[in-house]
Amino acid sequence: MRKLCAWFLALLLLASLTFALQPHPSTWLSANLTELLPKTHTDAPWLTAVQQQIAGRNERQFIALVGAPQANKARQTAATLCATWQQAKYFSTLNCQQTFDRESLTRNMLALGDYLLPPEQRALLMHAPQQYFLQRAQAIVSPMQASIVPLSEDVLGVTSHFTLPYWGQFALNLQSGWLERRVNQETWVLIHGELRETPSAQALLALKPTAMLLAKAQQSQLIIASPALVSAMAQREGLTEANWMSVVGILGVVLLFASIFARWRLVYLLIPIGLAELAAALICVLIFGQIHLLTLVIGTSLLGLLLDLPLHWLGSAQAQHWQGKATMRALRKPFLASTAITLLGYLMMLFAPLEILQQTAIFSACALAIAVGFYVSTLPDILARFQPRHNKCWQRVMSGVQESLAWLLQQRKSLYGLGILLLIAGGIFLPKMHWQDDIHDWVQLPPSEVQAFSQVGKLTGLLAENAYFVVSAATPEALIERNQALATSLSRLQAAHQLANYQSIAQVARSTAEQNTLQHTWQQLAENPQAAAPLLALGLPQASITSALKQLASRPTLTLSQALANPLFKPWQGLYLGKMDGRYVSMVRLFGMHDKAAVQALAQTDAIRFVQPVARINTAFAHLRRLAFELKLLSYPLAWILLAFLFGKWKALAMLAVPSVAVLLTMTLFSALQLTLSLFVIFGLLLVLAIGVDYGVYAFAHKGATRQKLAGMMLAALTTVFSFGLLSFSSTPVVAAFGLTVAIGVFFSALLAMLATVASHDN
Amino acid sequence: MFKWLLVMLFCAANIASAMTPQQLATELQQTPVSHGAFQQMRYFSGMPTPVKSRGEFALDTQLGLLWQQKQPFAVILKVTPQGIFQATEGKWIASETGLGSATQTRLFLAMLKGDLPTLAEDFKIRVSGDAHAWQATLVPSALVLKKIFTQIILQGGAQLQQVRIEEVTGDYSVITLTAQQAGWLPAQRALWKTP
Repeated sequence: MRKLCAWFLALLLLASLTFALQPHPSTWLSANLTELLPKTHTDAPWLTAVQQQIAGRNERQFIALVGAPQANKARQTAATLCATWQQAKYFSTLNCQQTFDRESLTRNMLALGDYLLPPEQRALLMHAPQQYFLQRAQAIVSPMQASIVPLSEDVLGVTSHFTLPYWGQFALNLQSGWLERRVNQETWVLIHGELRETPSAQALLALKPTAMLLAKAQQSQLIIASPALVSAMAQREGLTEANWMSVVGILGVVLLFASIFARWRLVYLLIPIGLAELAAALICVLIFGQIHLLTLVIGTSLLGLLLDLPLHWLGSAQAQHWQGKATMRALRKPFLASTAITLLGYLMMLFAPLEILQQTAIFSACALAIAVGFYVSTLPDILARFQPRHNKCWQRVMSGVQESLAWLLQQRKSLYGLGILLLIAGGIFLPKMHWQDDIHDWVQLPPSEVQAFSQVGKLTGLLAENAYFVVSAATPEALIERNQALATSLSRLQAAHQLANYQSIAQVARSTAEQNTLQHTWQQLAENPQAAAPLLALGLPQASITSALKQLASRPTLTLSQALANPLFKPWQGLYLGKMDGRYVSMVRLFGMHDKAAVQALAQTDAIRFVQPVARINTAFAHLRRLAFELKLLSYPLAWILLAFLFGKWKALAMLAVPSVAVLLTMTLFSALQLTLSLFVIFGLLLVLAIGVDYGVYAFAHKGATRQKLAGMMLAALTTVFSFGLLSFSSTPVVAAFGLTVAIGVFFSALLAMLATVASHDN
Repeated sequence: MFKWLLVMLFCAANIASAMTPQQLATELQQTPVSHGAFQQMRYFSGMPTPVKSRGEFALDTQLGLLWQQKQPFAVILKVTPQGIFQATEGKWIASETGLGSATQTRLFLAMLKGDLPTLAEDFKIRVSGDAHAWQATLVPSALVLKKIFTQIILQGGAQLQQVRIEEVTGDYSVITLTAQQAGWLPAQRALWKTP
């Protein structure tokens, strides 16, 4: 006995030390909900890496819009915000007021030279050079075209067609240098950037309220769209939730003990639970490297389950001559059996390839095993001289319950009627069950954030679709060509209004072949410069035209990475992912996909992949759900074998009938209430079988007095339903659904088991 | 006596103060529809001779500008707040837009229209002279325009006569408007209305 206590103390010390040695919870506590989503194993490693890289980058995108009726007010506020953010060093890039450095712009344009020439100009130059030079002459004459690059440095105008990429509906205001848009008497200023990977959740969370206050003080509106910020908010919400749930859960149990048994000593029962959960968390961290917040939230609900044994034991304590040790001996077999079944349920969950479920299974199984072991071996000793105070009120409640159950059982006709009614309800509703899993049930965005994102999307037209193309090829050359072919098709869709816009390296990149062809054209023109007659007509010297042609003919070609390294191409740099696993990879970003099927049809098996993270995850969910269902079906015969071995096959069947009927009732209720049956609901039902069978075992195997058995069941059900019911208040829909399923299922199980107990007593 | 003093003070004030940009704007907008001839010289640094062009123009402060260049080759442009269009085979085709060209188009229209309030958003304007011979000097105050233009000088009397655009690169253009008359020629109206 003492040895066991010593072991526990050692374990506790070890656990506390392990957690204490890691000052930041972020190293062992994860709260990123997207991490929990099923992994799609069907992809090649390089494609998975590409998707992760893109997802990471999307997560770090940051857009802020500052609005005010007076343009200058909005600009001032934006400038203040930019200064604050730049000082905080959270951003790897932050685009604020553009300085428009003419010298570097000229230098960058000249470095690219004829690489900047758009395809239609290239075609013109090759097939109708006179036309090209006529247009160039017109541009030189036009009083409305002051060019960036001086005429003497680019007589032929190869850089003159370059336009700065514009930001959706926002245009660069040449006066202020800000990206601006005026909508409904309000000027909006756009700040966009990318967050570093380093800022902590706390830092990000502090960023928004500070900025909001600052904007408000300057009478400006501020809208921030940042996925990373939303993740941080969800994390904070999860932590708050986990905290209040534990507090409420513990308080509830303490109050229950205090009101029924009126003995403070029973608070002792909570200590092994604390130890067991701490140890379970430690084991989880050891196995998975970290523990997810959601596991802890679900783990909190274990409280009710872990208390079952002491409550069944104490349930009989209201008897006149209560013998703690004897009762424990009598309870041992049913209890070990029901614990084994519950553990079996968790074991089944372990087979689901979803880390959150595996973590929950490991956590719960460990906590349960430790707590039960502790209670069975120590309770009678520690509470040896415990004599509960007789609680008149509780006695009355229990008599009431027993009498009503007995009365209910006497109403045979009504019971049959109810049974038939339930059968009909089941027949109607069960086939209509709505099975569905959606990513939105996992990551519940705060409504204010959803609104911010939609506002930013409306104002800018810039929020990229959650779907994109991944283009890959054996050489950079082939990659450019493939992108160009895709871009041609995408432009066609754009013209047909099936796609609002896209962003591809094809918009700027030129293959070596294209560069060589152009070089050859310059060479021919240099040898034969009649086509440049319109320029001569302007009075430009022949010598400068010829030398410009010769210079372009001898320009070295640029590789894709060389060209993209030019600051002018910054907006496209992120699209090229470089060499991955022996192939060159780039992505095409899509905006405003009005006709998804048409866009998706452009995909080609390996070279051009259409990636839809959400759809992929939903497919993975469907797969998991099927697996969960199979596991659930399998768990029944397994539980029956175990129970049959211990109690005989007929009794085992009766015990299993309790949770089975409860599960069917729960499903009917869910279906009747038109609640969606998600993956977590199925795992909840799996757990209902595991927990509900406990009640079946007590009803049919425990040879105690009816009243005491009922009291035990009632107490156990109260705590379990209470603690799982708490979960249904979670802001994460899947967690709430899980809690609700288990609470309702356990309620039905307990009700059925209590009916069975009373019925067997009457017989 | 006091009355006389007041009158004298007013006269002195009138003589001493040059035209205000508002007065100039009002005066220039007295003939909202006009046509005439233009000659343009563009001086490029590093080029020995200026690029010359000439032709006819028609300006309507509401509609925009019709720019019919005859020399060194024929080009017909229509400049509207929506952008620049070029007459190609009897049709108006939107001219491609270069870097910041929308802003430049807007500016050019404002200059010819004498729309000083619009110009004042981007330039510091100094007006000297009187209604018969005035000069307006526009120095860019806008961040980006400063990097393109050094200054723009408008000169005229009853009408705008000359525009001189000086660029940061040292290039400059001089546009001279002559033979200006109120209204448009029927041929110009017809051309503008071509789809």
